[in-house]
Amino acid sequence: MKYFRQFSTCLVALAAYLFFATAYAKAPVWTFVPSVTNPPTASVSSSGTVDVIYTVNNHSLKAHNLVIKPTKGLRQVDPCQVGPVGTMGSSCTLTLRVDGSALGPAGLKGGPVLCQANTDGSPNHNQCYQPSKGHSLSISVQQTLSVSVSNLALAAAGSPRILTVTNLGAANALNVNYSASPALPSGTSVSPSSCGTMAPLSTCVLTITPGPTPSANPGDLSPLPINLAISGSNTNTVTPQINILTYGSVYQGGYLFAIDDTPPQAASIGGKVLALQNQATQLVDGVVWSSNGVGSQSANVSNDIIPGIGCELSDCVVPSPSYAAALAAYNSTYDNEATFPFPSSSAFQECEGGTDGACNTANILTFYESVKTNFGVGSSPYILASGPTDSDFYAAGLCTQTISGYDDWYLPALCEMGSVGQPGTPCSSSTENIADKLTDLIGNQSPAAPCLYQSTYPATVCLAGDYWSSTEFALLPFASDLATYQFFSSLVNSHTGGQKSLELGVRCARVITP
Amino acid sequence: MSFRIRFGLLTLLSISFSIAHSSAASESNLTWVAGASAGSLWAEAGQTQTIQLTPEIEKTYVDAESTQVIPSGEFFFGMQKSLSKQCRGQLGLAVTINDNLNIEGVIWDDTNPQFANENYQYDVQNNRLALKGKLLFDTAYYGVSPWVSVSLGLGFNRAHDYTNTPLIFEAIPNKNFADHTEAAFSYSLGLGLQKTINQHWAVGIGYEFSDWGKNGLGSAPEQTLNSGPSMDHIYTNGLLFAIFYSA
Repeated sequence: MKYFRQFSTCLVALAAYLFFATAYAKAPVWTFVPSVTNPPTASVSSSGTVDVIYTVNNHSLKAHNLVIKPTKGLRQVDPCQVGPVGTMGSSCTLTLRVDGSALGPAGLKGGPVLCQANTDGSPNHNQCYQPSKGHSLSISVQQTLSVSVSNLALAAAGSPRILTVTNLGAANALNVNYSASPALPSGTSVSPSSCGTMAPLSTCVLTITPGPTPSANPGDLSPLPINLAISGSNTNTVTPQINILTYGSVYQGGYLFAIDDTPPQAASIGGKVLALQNQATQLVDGVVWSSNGVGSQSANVSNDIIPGIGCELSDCVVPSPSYAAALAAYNSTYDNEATFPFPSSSAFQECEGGTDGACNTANILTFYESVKTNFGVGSSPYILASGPTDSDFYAAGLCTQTISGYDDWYLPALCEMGSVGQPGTPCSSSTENIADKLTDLIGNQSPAAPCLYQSTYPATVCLAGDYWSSTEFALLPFASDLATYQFFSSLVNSHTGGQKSLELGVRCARVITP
Repeated sequence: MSFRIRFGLLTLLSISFSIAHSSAASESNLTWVAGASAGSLWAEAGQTQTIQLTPEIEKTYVDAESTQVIPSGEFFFGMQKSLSKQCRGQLGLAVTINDNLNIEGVIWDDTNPQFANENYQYDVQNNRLALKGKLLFDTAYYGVSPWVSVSLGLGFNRAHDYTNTPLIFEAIPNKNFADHTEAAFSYSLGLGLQKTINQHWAVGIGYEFSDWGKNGLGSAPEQTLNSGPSMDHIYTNGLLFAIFYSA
């Protein structure tokens, strides 16, 4: 009897189960299809946002207006109204904006829960569905790292310099490590070996001690900087670039010929670079030092005194010639100086004419961009015309062009080009100069011979022959028709003074920027 | 309070009452009588219904139609009078306590059997106070008396502890309907056999049909229309064993 009762109970239960299992189906009233471009698995920075997009499909014969259950850090961007199944509007695009700053370090896992809306637009919790497990939200929060500079230049065997990494996030950045690609050259080290766990708003100072080996060979026209990728297990990646430089290293558009290792640790080295190619080449397309506005050849020279950029044989430091001398020469050379007055004295700087090419170039441009002199056209005194003089016609003008993406070039001063000259030399070899520091870039004009760099880097444009400097040659009394130039050859480098009407080469320089 | 504790307390209450008044009524052929009975009820409670919770949300609550057996107990206290040589009548108050009946089923979201996504369940418990009348026929056959009874009264139906459970991962549990106690007209009809043991004591066995009357749950949070699942009747069939004492 007992067994019969148990058996019959069992049969009833089985029948009930089968009845329920076969008669009714289980399916969500609305389903979520994740988008490929904005999937539900994503990471967001602790100060940024990310969008997750679903297509929501309604499977019911009833229309629905759907709104997400309030969730911290999640916002529904647009309404989601879906019509009955089988109709045109039975789907909607659900865009969810995730706000990293509102999420805790654990991020956002699960959901979104999407509910039927009440008439006032608020979600009613009596009818809600979420995506299937595999399509649910899985948002991780990335703490944001920032680094003090995006590029750090150091001198080989020079002073150590630092990069400061900061955790900008609101939670700990974990396992913050770095790796260099390409690898650091031998002798160069970075310390500490890891930044570990960084608390919010804390910093980690990486000290880079440069060894004697530069990051790329001097003369290499396509040098690779070292990318130092810094990241934590829950952060973004910052990749500052490190350049370990020596004389001849190609950097910021030119060959490094002067290095200033005195800037503070947190900054890059200073220095000067020489452009990778000539703006004008002697015997090919040489130009005069100064032009009357008609052309770039000898007949087109304009002999004027440019104040403040002169260099006597014994002195390259005291600013000369004087403004008064330049003004007097101008007024006696030209007829209509009343219409085109000489620029005011405040327009010119008092330069160290022998060493400050940038200052010299500024003064030369101040003059030749204000007038076309027409010097030598007709008879003296000559008739001035409005400027500017075409920058392609004269040496300093050629350095106003954009070269290798930079537009702050100048015509180098005499002592920036070499330290040895005739007659005598007013330059000191303690002024870092092109002839002393870029030996492997210097070839021969006649007989023609390449420089050492060219054998390894065939695209190298060697220095050979005469090149204008921005230093006026100042004899007592001041001469308006002389300037100085540098001769480069593999046998001897020297500088001298000569007629501004000579058609010589031009190679520009610039000061490297942080 | 659990069924057993309530049962025990009422037992003590009615026994003490009846002993106090045993002697007074015998001269007028009117005697006090008390009885206690216990047994099982069979009931199939629950009713499939569609409820509009808000203007936008409508669901069908599909009853599982399961039959249950629950314990039940009753205390009777009243007066007995001989109506004829063979006929006795009893009239008094009956207090009935029943255990919880479990109502369960599945919810069709949007009233559509395609979306049978949640199970639901809740309990209804009935306590009843009724005026009960009983007619006994005394036969000479071994002191056995068949009887019929009817009671009319007020039942307190407490619908409570509603829960719902999703059947698929994607479904989120709905809000639960609130507990609600309904006072409803309740009645019963019974028949049975009673055997006299001695002058005062008798034992009996009986069948009783009862209707617990109206019952239902309250509203769920965020529900703006109607209230929870409800029924007009719960019918039960009971088999009870009783013991009687008369003065």
